Amino acid sequence: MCGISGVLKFDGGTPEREQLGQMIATLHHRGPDASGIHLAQGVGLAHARLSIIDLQGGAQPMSSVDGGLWITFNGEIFNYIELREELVSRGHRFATRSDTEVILNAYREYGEDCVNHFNGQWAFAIWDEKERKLFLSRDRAGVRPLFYTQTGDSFLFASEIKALFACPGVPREIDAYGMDQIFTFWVTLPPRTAFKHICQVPPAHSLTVKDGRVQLRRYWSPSYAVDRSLCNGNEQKAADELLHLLQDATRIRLRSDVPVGAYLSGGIDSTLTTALVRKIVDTRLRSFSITFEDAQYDESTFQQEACKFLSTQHSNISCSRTNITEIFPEVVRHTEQPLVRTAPAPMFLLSQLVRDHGFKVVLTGEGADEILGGYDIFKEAKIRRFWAQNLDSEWRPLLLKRLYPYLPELQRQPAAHLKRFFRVTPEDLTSPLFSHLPRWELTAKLKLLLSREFSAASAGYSAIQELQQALPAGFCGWPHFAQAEYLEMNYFLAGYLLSSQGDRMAMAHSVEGRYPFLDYRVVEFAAKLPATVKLKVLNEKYLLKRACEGIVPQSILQRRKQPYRAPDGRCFFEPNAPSYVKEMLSPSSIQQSGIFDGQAVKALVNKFVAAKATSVKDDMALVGVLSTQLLSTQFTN
Amino acid sequence: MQTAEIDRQIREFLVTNFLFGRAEALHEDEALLGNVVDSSGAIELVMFLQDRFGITVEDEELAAPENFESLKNIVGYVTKKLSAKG
Repeated sequence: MCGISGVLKFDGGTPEREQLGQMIATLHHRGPDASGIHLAQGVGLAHARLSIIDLQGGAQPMSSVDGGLWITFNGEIFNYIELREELVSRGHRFATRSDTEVILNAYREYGEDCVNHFNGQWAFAIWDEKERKLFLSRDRAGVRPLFYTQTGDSFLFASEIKALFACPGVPREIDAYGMDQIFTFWVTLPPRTAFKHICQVPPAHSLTVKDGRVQLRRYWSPSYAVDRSLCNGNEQKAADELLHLLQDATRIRLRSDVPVGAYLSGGIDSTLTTALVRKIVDTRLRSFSITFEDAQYDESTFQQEACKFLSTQHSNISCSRTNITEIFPEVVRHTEQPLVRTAPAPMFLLSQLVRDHGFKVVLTGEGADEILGGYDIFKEAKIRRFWAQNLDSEWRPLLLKRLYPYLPELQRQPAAHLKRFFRVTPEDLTSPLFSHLPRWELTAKLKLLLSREFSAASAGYSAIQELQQALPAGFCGWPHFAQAEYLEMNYFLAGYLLSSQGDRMAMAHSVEGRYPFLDYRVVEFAAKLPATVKLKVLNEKYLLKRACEGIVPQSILQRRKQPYRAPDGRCFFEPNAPSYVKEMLSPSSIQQSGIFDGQAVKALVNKFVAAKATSVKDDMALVGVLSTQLLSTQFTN
Repeated sequence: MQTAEIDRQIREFLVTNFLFGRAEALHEDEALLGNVVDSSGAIELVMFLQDRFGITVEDEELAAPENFESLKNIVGYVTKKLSAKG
């Protein structure tokens, strides 16, 4: 895992080494083992290396054997061994045994379609000297980040936005449309980011720059057309097939020249990936987890059970409210986007723990909830539809209360109120966004906090409408469950979970996460499964649980699913809260950033000071304001 | 208590607690539940009405959407309860 950056000069001039040096220096945390710069007429590539595969021969930027192609690459191509053999048989020569060189020769062989041959997680840039073309690509799920911008005479790209800001002439401004989107979906809609003029290559997209023209192209999208033959009358066959795919996805994700560890959350997904590693690796596996001082967030009992069952050598780190408030500014510096939850902060501590134990690579269970029906939002949508069929039912709304046992206020709501909040009306039922409307509309309340001046820039804009326009053709006719899965996978997973809670928190301590559930073969298989085997009645991840029989302890298979959460807004108002909290929320800071309305923030802060902030919305609002203020101070001042 | 005063106090509560002090975001006839008052907020609202106006909100009154439909409806409901109380 590494950091990459580069500059393309539209006038064909040679970029300055110093500029590339400054860019890559900002990404030192992503690649502390080595760094390199390649300069040529019209282009400069830079690389910060975290050595994982071919420790001796994998230095970058790297050229093809003939010198015609140059690459800077962040990530892993897990099937590089098989691809290398194939390419050798087609006459390609290799000077190293790295996956980096496999990308170069695959590009030579297949052109831009080479990415369809890769099974991995990547962000790379290839400079094609003969074609005078820059080719950028990002992996299917969006595991690795890739940002770009243009100044008058240059195209710039990098793994993180801070590297772009190291260049002269790049404006540093929070984007009103980006804020509107984050205060609706928690993420921006790619290619937009939280910063004006800074774009991201969307997941599963490639980008080319040639003759001054920039073109984005989607190269992959899984089909959600259900294939009933997969489990017609034989669910066990489908469960076996799923397990077989996951086993192979795990096997190739163990390809590394450094030891691989595992995150173990105490849930089914990470217990399964760890169990699959155990089947392959003879040595005792190292596992890592977070525990919480607040019992309501803690899963250590299940973590211990999983460790015992799998005989891993386990380490954990305890996360307190004080830890979260102390590291929050550093967390925001790495996420590079406003947050409405503090949940990335414990992941920051976890990667530090991994690194402190000398590990650079960890396997995690991320992705299973999105592709195999694990999230409450899927159940919620199913219950809402069920309720809508009989609006007068007294017991149907009780199912919603059963779904959220950890939200005590919701338990006391009369059905009439739940009906309104969960949007159970005949009109809502026809919306292709039905599953996500309550979440988005609740988050959108945070827009009231924005100042009139700031939101004037996006007056009349509707983030939900923009998302709706970007949906695939025929989306309205998709099965409801597939619609919800698509929204979760395409927006929340890539923009928040894999980024703010994933890559950014792991790479803050030079740790690479690997995700067997996001192997494209697993994703494509899961997309074709009928919804009934993912969410059987209200039993989440049904088929996965069936696949886990005998591999994962029964106590973990049968436990009630607990969403990963961390203490939110209130921890910033404890007596020992760091001084930056008061400073960032002060009227003068609010006025200086200009993003929020002073009176609105004051009302919010007063509510927390008076210990009257009890709602999910208040928590999100506080974390949203604080993280945006930190972001603005760190990046735009 | 005058209706105007009841309106003022409820309005102030809603604006401070659910709209971050943005008074212009509250409309008299707007459906409150789901729009202004979030999932946990209905309880907060009831507690406020009981404490501030000394009334008791019965379960069946809470469940009747017309009582809490909009600011206008809540004001009407509280006025009615107060006058019944004498």
